[in-house]
Amino acid sequence: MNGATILAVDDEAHILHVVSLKLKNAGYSVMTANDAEEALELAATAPVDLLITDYQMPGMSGLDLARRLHAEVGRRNLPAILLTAHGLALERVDLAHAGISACLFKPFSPRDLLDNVHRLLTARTPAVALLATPAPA
Amino acid sequence: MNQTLTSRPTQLNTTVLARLAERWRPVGLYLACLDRDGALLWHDAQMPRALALCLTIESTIPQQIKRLGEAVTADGVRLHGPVPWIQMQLLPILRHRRTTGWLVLIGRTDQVAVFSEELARFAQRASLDAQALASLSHKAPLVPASHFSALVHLARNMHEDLQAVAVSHGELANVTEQLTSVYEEIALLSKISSGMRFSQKPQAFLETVCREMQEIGDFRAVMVALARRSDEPSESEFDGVSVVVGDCGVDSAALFRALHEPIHDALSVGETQVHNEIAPDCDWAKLGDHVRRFVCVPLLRDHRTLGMLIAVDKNDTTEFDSVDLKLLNNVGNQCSIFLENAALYHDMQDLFMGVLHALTRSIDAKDAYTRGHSQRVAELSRDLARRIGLPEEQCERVYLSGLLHDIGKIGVPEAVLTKPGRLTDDEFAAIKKHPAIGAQILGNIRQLQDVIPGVLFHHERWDGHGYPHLLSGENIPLMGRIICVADSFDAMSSTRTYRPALPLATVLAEITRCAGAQFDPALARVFVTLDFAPYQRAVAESHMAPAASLTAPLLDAPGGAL
Repeated sequence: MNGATILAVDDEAHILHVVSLKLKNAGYSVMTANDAEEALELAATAPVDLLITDYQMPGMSGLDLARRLHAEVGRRNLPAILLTAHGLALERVDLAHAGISACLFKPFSPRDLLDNVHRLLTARTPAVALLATPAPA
Repeated sequence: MNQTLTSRPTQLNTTVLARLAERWRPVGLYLACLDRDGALLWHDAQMPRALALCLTIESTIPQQIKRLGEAVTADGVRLHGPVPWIQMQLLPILRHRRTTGWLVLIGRTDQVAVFSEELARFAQRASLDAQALASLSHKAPLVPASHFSALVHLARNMHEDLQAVAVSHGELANVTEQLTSVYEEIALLSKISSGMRFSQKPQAFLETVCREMQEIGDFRAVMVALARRSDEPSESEFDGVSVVVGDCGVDSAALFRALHEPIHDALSVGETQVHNEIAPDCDWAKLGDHVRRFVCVPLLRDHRTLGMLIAVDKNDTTEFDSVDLKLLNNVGNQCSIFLENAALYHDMQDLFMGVLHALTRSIDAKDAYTRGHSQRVAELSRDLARRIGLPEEQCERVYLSGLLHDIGKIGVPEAVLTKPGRLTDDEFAAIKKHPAIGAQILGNIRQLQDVIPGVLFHHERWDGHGYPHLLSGENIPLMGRIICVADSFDAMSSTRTYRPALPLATVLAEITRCAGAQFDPALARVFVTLDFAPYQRAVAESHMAPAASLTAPLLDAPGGAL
């Protein structure tokens, strides 16, 4: 699954740096954004295979970002990883509704993150098949 | 971490140079890069051929550079080329104030002297026709000589800026890489501390921790040896290697023995010791090439040695650096905390169980016939609990309850307990109080609340004719029903004043006969299938000890077992 494009979003620059270095070293191409608005703009310009987003950011939250992206045409099944801190009350239901495939708690292990990325990108259905499947009501 | 900078300087430069070359091309200046000794490393691919020929033909460049030595200003020096109308300016590429290579700016600064001797010699050396070389030379754009030095100066500044940017990028990448390993370490430490349960076996805990650490640090192997617990704090001996993850190439026990000296050193200093260089005559060098480098981390707590953590070699064969040491020290610290607390926990657990056993033995001791009774009932009850598939934690509670089931006898007069012959109604009433007394005694101990049902209800009967609460069927708590079977079994299997111990087959038949009357029929069915060999060994052992007075209450087995 190398060569896949990953959109990483976090308002903390150091996390963004670490995430993007780890992913680039593993052979992925990475687009980074400092907030949800920038992420949406980036996503409009290029195909995205996976989203990694922080939960708590100024402006739009990571959950809302995931929801917005999943509402876009062809992005219904975009795998999404949410980074969050312990103690922030997140309901399982909300995660499921926003289409979050995995949730990592900070301080997270970059290796764990990479494992999750591999897993999600290996398991995903090819984009073509997604487009061909009519969305269930 | 510095590798990124040192191992890829040319790669770094090429990117910078390509960008610089692109900017200078329109002006008519072209770029090339030489290594420290003047060998051509790179040149602008779009450089006009006549200029490129100057670089490749002029074999005196390395000599010219050698003559310069270190005496070159940042503005550089002019190189002597094959023809005067092509100028080459040499600029040092500095890194950490040392010249690591050369930048060459090359351009045509004058008209081509078509009939000159220089051109003829140049053409000859390039194996070209002079006419052809002249026309090639004309293709190189003309940069006025008066502008050349100013442009070179600008180009130099621009190169420095670009290089600084490239260095910053490299540094950022390094910092990010370090940050990544810090993240891994923090994540591991947070995982260790949040998942630390002192009831866990040290073996299991250390194995998980070592495995994670081995992966994060990219160590070839990590091992831990636990110190033998001794009252002599200065004397530290090890119980061999408890945990090994990864493959250190040799037998871990042999390696541990060979490392005796450095281990001893680390202990006497009381601090982590790194061995990145191995002396050829030391013990561990004799193990062959398997072990090149290692780190000894003593696991200490209040100057007491709890163990020794050893990391062996990095998979990339590099030295152990400060990042590795920080990881090993921090995790070693967590291991020490765990080991100390685990030891305290087990001490407490031992003390607790010791006190309980002492207590129950003192009750059993009131009567020679019940010696070892509580212990046997506890074990039988736990066997039965396991066989019916209760979770292990609950089986241990059943064991405790079995151990304590007769604790209430402490409140029954000894004369009644040991009375030979038949009991009066009053005496029997006194005996019947022991489950309630036991429950009352334990009622004040928070940690034993959940074992009380076994104590209080072990004389209830399935048919409702037991005591003290005349409960029946499944209204009797399961713990009570379990202990009831085990208790009766042991009573029948022991010698009483009025009869010798009954043979196992007879006792089991009796249990089956009383299923549904005295016993929970489902439990009785399972009970008779248990393995009684350990039980019979325990009975034999307790009868080895001489019995005191052979007086025992006269009871109707099995229903009357106390």
